[in-house]
Amino acid sequence: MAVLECAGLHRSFGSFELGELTFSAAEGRVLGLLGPNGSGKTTLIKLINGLIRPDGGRVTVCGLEPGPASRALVSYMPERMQLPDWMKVGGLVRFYGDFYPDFEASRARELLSSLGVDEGQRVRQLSKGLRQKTQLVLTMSRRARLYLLDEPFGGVDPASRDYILETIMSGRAEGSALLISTHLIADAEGLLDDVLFLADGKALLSGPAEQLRRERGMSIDALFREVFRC
Amino acid sequence: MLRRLLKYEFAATARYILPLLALLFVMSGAAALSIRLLGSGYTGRAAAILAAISVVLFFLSVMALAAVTLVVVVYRFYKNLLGPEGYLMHSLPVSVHPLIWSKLITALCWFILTGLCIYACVFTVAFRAEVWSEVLSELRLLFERLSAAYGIGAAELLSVVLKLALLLLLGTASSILLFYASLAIGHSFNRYKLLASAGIFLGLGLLSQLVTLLLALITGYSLRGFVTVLNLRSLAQLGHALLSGGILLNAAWCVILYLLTAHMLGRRLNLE
Repeated sequence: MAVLECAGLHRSFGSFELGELTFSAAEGRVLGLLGPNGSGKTTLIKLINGLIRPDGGRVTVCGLEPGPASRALVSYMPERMQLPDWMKVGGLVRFYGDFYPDFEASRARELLSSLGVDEGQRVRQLSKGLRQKTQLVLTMSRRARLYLLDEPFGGVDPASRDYILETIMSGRAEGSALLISTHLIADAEGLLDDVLFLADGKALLSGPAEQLRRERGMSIDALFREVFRC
Repeated sequence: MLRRLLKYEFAATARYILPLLALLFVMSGAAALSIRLLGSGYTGRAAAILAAISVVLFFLSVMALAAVTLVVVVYRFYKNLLGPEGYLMHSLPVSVHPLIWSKLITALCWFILTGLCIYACVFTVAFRAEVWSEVLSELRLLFERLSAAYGIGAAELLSVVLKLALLLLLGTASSILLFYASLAIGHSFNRYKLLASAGIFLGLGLLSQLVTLLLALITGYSLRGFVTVLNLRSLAQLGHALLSGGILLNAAWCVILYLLTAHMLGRRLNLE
């Protein structure tokens, strides 16, 4: 059953146009949204989470159009640091617990403790990598139906990427769908069940990752480099 | 959800405003004490300088509190709903309405609290306790004479006070919403968002002034024969009518600005 469905979705910003995109993300699957910078990955994720509205087409999460009800089912981590820098980490755990009934505070505390993050520390006191990991821990500690991760590996060192990858793989709720946007394909290659290649807002290529590897005789990373060769 | 949002709003804003409120109380205490000392026989040069410095510091703390309250209220809306934190707030399972209401209610509470504290401190510094009892007894006498001569009773006085309070509340709310609406509209632009917000703020402010002026002219014209039968009783009725008109005008302006803000945040959000 599809958790996320997009049909003829499009949105334009000045000269940039996204779509029309038609695709879905099924239960238990990881969909990789792959494309170079400026290809429309963030715009598409914003459309799915209702942060911007489409000019046309339709997007639904578990049959719900983007809005407060769908956002209760979606756990979203934006590319930018969204956490208020004045808040303490413990306060953020309580904040998530207050607003999301599916948030597992004990799991978040356990993961934060394993990272060496003190709950009394303010977000502004954390290093960039730790902030990114804290944001990911909070996102993945929800038992959501759909996870939207926008460039989760952006700006972190390779060791941190391993941690992020592990947290994503172990953290997602059973039966959920996960959409991950990245241009660091090598890091996410093992995670992906399905891929959607985006270029200039258009879908270039899509399908099950394993099938594409078999048909093209190369990894998704190699395929990405071939498709987007400058 | 609104209650939970309010909890975080107060926490986020109190850390700036409460220390300044505490400073205001300290400064007003110091100013009141130094003035009392000066009035009770300590007439040396040092006492006079101390009194002057403490009064200046007191008024600086008043200005700081008033300015910071306004800046905190406006900046909180901008940073929390239109900046990077907007990704977190607009991803919560709530509509834009509780988001705006939580900001507006918190802002109104701070304006009322800081306003009351500033007035209380200014009066404490300026007047001694015995002056207060004299003022209150004079007011009581005035009210008794008005009541005897023109039949203006306690109910009417209470109604005027309530209407004035409502007008003040709505006026403050419309000023806050003017900032919110301007920022929300300005932020829908792709470039020069703050410049656009400033332009829209000036434009909307000018528009509200023009509408108020136009309504005042119309009201004045339609009341041109009224002055011929002017007495205190009819003046009281005119006051009531003007207060009611002001309340309606401010309420309408609040609704327009609120709907504009909600529309821009709900339909035209443009987070960077």
